[in-house]
Amino acid sequence: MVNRDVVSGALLLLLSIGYLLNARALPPGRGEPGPAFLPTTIAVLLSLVAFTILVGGAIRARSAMAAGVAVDGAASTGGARWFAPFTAILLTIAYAVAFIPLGFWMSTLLYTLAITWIFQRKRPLQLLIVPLASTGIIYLLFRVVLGARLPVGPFS
Amino acid sequence: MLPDFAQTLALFLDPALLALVVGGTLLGIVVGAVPGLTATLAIALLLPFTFALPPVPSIVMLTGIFIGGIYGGSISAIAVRIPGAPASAMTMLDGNAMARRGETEAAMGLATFSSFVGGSAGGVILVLFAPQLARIALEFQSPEMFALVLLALVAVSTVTADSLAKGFAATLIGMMLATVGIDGLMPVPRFTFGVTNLLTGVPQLAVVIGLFAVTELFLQAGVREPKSVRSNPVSFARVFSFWPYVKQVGWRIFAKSSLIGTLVGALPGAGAAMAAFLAYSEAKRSSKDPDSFGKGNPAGVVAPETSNNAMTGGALIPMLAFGIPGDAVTAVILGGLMIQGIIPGPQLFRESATLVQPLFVGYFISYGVLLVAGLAFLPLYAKIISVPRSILFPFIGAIAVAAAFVAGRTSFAMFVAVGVGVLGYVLQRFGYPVVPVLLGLILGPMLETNFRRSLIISRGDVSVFFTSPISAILIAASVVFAIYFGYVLPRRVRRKEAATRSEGEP
Repeated sequence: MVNRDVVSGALLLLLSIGYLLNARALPPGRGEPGPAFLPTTIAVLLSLVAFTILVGGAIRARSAMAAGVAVDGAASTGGARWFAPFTAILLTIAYAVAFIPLGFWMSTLLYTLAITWIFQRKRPLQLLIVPLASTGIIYLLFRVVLGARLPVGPFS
Repeated sequence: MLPDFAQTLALFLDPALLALVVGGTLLGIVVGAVPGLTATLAIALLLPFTFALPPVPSIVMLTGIFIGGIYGGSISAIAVRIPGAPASAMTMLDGNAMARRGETEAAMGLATFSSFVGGSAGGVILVLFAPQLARIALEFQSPEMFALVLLALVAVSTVTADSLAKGFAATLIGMMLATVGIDGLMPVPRFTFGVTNLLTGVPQLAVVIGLFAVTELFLQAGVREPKSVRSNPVSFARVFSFWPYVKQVGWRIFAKSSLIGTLVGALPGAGAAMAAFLAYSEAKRSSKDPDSFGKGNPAGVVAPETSNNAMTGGALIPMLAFGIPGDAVTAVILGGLMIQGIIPGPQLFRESATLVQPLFVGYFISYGVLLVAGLAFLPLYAKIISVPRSILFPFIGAIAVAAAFVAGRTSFAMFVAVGVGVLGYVLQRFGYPVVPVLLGLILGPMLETNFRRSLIISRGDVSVFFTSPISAILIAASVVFAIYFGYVLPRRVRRKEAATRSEGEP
């Protein structure tokens, strides 16, 4: 198992390098530090911090392995599932993509049905009621109370 | 001042405004009571609705939700040993112990009364000090403002995370997001990658919705459904059974906890959880019977609840006086105000005084509502906290994405909210806090603008930050803060833990 601090430290290091490369392309200031100053400072500080996290994580992992203790690679919450959040992420992205083409009603009904199913599958009535109630309440709040326009999709 | 207050009080005779204060407070209590929901989440989702309201009703409603949300967490903490908010984790220790010996009503009544006392004390300090601090802040030039914002960013990095490095990383990520868009002093696009929507920067409201609503959905999806939570029955007939404990605990704990909460609240990023922890620790340290804490000592309910609600007054002080939020909720409220065109800070008291006084009055009315509703609706709370997540979170996920669309009026804002939600989820799974991300986003531009302006005025001479006594003191305070909270205190805690472990070993 890979130590999560090593992974996150490495990712942050990559991020700071990419950020720095983009910051260097910015023009210099005239009589003041310029638009590149803060991004460059952030990139340098982040890379130092990322390196600290990475090295700290590697040292802890090595000490833990030497002591015969399981390396910390688990999620921050003990026993947390990964498949359900991953599915929720994909569904939420799909919802955002489908929101305008499918329209508010269809996309929201499908999305809330899918998310309800992630949280529980044993009560079929809830699988019916929660999507309908959620979609209806949100429509009331935004369309009726706020007067906001919501996409109607292909059924206009 | 008195005639102004009388005039402002008359504003609240308007049933619509009063309904918003009462409704906001009750909504905050409900949201705070349900585990998995937070006042920050509620405010993030309600911000688009506040755009349809004028500034005064908007801010009093948001303040009501803030106040109710901090108190509401104590309900599930006491009744079923699940803190509704991180701020209630300390209340849970003694509050639930009291509930288990049949004193649920006394514990909840004590929590309600303590919240009222703490919040009112915090409010008095807010009313007395915020205008004075704003007057001082009007004298601040760019070097002083830079140093103050630097202290705020260091504070939020050090106190919100277990690891100094991770706290700093989260703050820097927020500041990175803030650099996207047209530069504030030169018309140069930064990190827009040719995306037109990014020219105006990353939409703040979408970031707020993403970090506090969408992230929570993903986190909750990863947690196994807890067994159904049931509270002991709560009887309205015993609602005043807490009163003898008020006398038993004594006024000193109320006073000390109020002061701790207000001071901690004024510190950016510190938040209600830290206020509650410090007050609890102090109450235990100064108690004649410290071993009784955690076993149903009423002072173990009074101290954290007084403190975490006093924090609400404290957190509003830097937000109103300097434009620097004291915690995540005030950061979201600050964002909401800025979107409405109201800039909190020293100018607020001069140019928008008609907003500040109603906020103060609305604050105290919210605490009045909290006291009455907290005692009157005690028997209903057991029902509120048992709403299943399978009903709440599909709704929250959908309303979050829809709210981002409505607020941003583009699908781009929706994608930002979802993207930031994924970022927030990944950060929390790797043990990074998200509050510093938001504060870095809000305060980053202030830091940069004031830094660059200072150097323009001084023609590149960096000693401008040290020749000003206020600026020099604030910068020194930042360094001391970072060293003490980032290194000295964690080391002390680790030594204490090691000593406790070795005492326990045979």
